[in-house]
Amino acid sequence: MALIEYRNLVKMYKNTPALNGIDLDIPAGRIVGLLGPNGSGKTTLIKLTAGLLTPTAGTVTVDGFAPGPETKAVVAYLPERSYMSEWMTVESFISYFADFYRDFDRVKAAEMLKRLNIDQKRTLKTLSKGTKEKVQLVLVMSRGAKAYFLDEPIAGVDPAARDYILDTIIRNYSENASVIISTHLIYDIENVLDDAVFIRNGQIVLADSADNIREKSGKTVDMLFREVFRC
Amino acid sequence: MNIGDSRPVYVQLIERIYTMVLSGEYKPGDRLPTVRELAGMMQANPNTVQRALFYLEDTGLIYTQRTTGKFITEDPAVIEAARKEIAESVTAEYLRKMRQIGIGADGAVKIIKETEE
Repeated sequence: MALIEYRNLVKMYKNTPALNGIDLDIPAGRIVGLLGPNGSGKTTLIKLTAGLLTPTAGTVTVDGFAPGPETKAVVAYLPERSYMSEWMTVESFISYFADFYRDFDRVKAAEMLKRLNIDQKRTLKTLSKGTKEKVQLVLVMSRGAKAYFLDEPIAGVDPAARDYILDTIIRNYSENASVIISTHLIYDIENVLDDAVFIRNGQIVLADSADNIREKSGKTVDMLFREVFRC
Repeated sequence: MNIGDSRPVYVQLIERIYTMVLSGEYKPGDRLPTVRELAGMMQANPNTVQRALFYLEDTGLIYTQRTTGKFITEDPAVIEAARKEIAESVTAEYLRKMRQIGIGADGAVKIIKETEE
């Protein structure tokens, strides 16, 4: 059994299919790039796995369970848009996460924030966009989860923040957990990936290891992506 | 690592570690950083780093000491063999390019000497 399994997963919005028959296994210990242009279904797939949407047909399981309390305890999710209240302090968010998630590691969160020189007493509205993104990433990565879903974590951040995010993903690597990163900015992350999954119009067009892609095509994942998704 | 390089990442990592050893950045008997540290340094995937290290262990350039980590070989013959192998492949590539512009091995040697001066 793979850590995450998708079987003929379909999601319709009214009469429009957002996902149209996804079959995919993600084993533990992988860093996976979920790659596709805007509107290809990346966020829908992540939200279905996080249990925020329900499938129209087909199944998704995490560690053998359909989305529910068992999977929410082991899935850490960084949404594309911030859900944090501006008036709250960084400190109160840490308490919030520690209350919600049994696997949250307060010491680890404090260490990561210290390394970033982020003062925990500050409210979110006084932080820059990049710093807010970092705080959210710290909260998510401080969990001892089995699956981390990061939805567009590097879109709209400066190169230094991007390096920090990639570095954090590498440092927190565990062979018992997988990290799934959705993005259309492949160039920036491809050396960090074990596997690449190309998704278009709600269907998987390619799923292979990053090194296999390079070996077979003689191209980088980014070059192949540009070819596959040429407008 | 060169992001535009389309060779598999583990091949690039192998080349980088070879270069670190042959340039003297890591000396015979030195302990290598852990997989995670190397992955951080090279901004590469830990499994890919692991794959490169397995390969290097196969060639004898590095060895594992059960509890303390991975080390650079202390056998000078292994390091010299690696140096020779890489020198040969770099030279073959150079000569291929020179032939493309109409210069044979003798001409290449002459140009190398002139350029050195």
